[in-house]
Amino acid sequence: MARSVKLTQQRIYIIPNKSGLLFLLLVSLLFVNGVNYQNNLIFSFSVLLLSIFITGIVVSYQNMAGLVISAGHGEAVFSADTTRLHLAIEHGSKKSKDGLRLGFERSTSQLLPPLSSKRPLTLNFKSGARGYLSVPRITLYSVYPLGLFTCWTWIRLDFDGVVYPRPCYVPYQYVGHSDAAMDAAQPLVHSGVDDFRGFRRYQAGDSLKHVAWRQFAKTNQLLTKEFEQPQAAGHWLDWQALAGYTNEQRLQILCGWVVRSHEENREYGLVLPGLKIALGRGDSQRQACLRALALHGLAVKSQVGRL
Amino acid sequence: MKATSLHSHALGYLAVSLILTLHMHLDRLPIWLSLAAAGSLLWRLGIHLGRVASPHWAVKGALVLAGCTAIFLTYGRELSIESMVSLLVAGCALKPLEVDKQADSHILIFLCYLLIGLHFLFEQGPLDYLWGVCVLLVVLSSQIRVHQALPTQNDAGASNDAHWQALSLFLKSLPLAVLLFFVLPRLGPLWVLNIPTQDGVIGLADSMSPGQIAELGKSDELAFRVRFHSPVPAMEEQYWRALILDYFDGETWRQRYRPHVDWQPAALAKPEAHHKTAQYEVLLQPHDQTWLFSLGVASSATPGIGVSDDARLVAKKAIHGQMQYDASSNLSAAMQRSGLSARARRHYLQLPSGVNPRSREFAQTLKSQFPHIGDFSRALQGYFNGSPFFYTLNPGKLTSGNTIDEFLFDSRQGFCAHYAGSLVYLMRSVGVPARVVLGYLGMEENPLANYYSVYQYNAHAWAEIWWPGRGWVRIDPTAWVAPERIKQGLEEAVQRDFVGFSSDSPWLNAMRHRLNALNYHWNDWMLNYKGAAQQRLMQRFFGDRSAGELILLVLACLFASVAMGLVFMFLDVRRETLSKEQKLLMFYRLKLQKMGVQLHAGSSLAELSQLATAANPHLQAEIDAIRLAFERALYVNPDSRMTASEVKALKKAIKLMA
Repeated sequence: MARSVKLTQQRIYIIPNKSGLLFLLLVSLLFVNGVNYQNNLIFSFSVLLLSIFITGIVVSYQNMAGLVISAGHGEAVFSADTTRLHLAIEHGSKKSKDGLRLGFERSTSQLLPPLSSKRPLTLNFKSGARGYLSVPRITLYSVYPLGLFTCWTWIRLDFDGVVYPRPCYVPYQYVGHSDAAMDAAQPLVHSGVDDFRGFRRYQAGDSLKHVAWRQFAKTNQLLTKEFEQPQAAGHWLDWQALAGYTNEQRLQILCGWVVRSHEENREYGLVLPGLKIALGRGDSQRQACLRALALHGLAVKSQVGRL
Repeated sequence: MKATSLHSHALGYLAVSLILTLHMHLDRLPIWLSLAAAGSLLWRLGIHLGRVASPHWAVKGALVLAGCTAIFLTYGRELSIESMVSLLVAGCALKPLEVDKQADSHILIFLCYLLIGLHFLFEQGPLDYLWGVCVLLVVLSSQIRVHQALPTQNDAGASNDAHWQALSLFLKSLPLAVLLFFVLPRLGPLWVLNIPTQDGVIGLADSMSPGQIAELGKSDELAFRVRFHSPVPAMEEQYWRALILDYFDGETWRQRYRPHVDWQPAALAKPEAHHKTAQYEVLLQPHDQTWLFSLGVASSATPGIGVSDDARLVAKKAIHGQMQYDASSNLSAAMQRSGLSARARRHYLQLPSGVNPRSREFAQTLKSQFPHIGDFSRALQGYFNGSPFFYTLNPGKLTSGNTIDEFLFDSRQGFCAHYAGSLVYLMRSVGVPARVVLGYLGMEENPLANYYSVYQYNAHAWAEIWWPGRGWVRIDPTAWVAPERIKQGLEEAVQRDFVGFSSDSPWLNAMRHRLNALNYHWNDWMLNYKGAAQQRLMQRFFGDRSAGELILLVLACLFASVAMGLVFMFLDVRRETLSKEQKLLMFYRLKLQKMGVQLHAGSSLAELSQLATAANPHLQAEIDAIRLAFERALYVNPDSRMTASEVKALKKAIKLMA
């Protein structure tokens, strides 16, 4: 696994495809014609086509060789959601590279526009289990220039990024906690009879439930409804509260709680074995908590070799 | 693989390739097929513009069926190259209707390649080949264009032009193609597959009826070329014998007598001192026949050529491609002096009964006056000279059943065929074995390439009579009537009949010679590079070796060239140039190392500066300045790269550090 990969002859595979074989059939047909009619022009023409076929292999290879593909980050998502992987593809040659296709499967690959030097790309990827983002091998392939060969390579890249546990929504449970403020905590799930206070401009991270869709339809402007919140004191999302569940289930439930708490703009903290995140609210709190949940119990990934 | 739709650029390229390819075959296609192709293209354009719906599969099926039926109706059951080409063209013309995906376009492109190749069955001139290669380049461009992605809007300059790509690919593959062309051994035909061409080749036929040769006389197509290794015979000796006709049915002369052919001919008998001989090499245009052309009594050492007992050269197989043979001739030797076999005599005396009574009577009367053959033929010459005979390419049609009578005594206008036929008739009427010889008379020198061309308008017919004690003797009655035909050639003899190739302008003549010389060298080198010619060239390169050794050497050369190609291909990846900033940085590191600064292999610019400052505190200002210059050039943004003068200044600053 590497952050970036340079394509050389050790990684690039070339094989004639169906059209290539058909082309060879064509060449032999012309060859037989040339021989049977003792016609040197047809003979030379078939030899010329054969030679173009062979040169095509080299050109096809050169089109791919020297490409450097480097991994960026993957956007953080919940497990089993689709993330966007950011990567860059570049090369140092003067001629632009053409007809490249990138994807996990050939059938779902995307055709890249001609590449003159460097280009950032994104790739959709359905994430797997929680933890560090692990991306299977990516296929880069092309049939350029003649379509007679498939030239491909498999790349395994190490993307930055984490996958959060899949949130599981169960009612909030409270266990006793040393912190005195916890005593005042209330269940997260409440009646929903908040007083409507007014609109404010939508901000990233606002709950979609609170978006004023009617206003959006009218004015094409995303607004968020604001409610008078009962000034809830911070509450603790505690690993210990979920004694009857397996570890993964606990993480999923905690994840659900974090998501809800954030949506409802409460102040919350997270307690995991060996880790405690202080009370807080907002995007950074959510991110810190989710990251802690994602990486709980996993070895710290080596950061050596990063720039 | 994902089925990718074609973009409009690719479709444009494909349409141009298709039109050019079909254009090559245009004049041998039935008119309905050209119209159908045009219609199909228009239909496809309509589909592309969204004006017309894509045809239903049933419609496509019906079109295919209609195409096949129409080809069958046009060409009949018999298989010919034209019908096969038409079938391919029909496929090629209908294919655009369903070309939508990359994979479909391959079929179309491959059909285009095939059609370009098959074009050379019909046309083999150097310009035809050049044009074929041009069309190949266009098709290649469209093949590349199909696989190119469209550039994004803000990256429009990034795309490689498909036609330049095609040209570069073509030029890169040319050396290998040339090598393969020269070294690949030429096999004999793999199986006998002589699909005849339907339009027929212009040339002599194995029958002669009045008017047939006159048609040839108006054609300026090349029949063959000849290069002499001995002095060129005089005009009166340039009778190229090809065919001997012995059977007359009252209107047409045909070949009935099948002479014995000796396929391992002995070399010519040693000529006597006063005999005139000629050695020459004939480059034959394909005429789909087995007869060859030679002077006098001929023999050939070229394999596959025999000598018939009427002293003509015959090829074992019909000549469908360019062909070359060596021959030597004795122009004065006698033919079958010892006597005729009874069978031959019967053939050469055959006459249809009951027609042309006046001629028969005329001959017999004359014969009774001049019993000796020599006197008799002189008397005939006197008759032809003394009567108002007229030599013309456009004689009126002879209408009665007694064609010889009508010609000799009424119309008296005719071409060589009339004269030769009548003379043989008259000779046979009095019991002298005689035959009509078809061939060519005269030739045209090309001063640029030192060879002679014989054109179809040189076609000629004359007579041979069997003279006891002398063998077959050539008599050309045309010479009695129009001696200028023999002395100066056909053009002068019937100038008024020609409009096609009057050659008054010396400039035009020179152009014609130049073009002909080009054609000649093309035929000599390109079309006939096989067999012996190939062996000669191989031997010049590799020395005199056995076939097995030659094959090994050729294989070694091939492998070597492929290996060189591979090395070239990998070098191309390694050959990555450093930018000038990187080079300068390397220079900086070297300088620091020389100054005694301990550097690590991967230390960054910041580390570098730190270490350098630690070792040389007095240089801190310089080191910082250098670091800043590098950082600005390398990391700020792509436009902040160093100019040449900056590089120079920085280099000087680094050098001066101490």
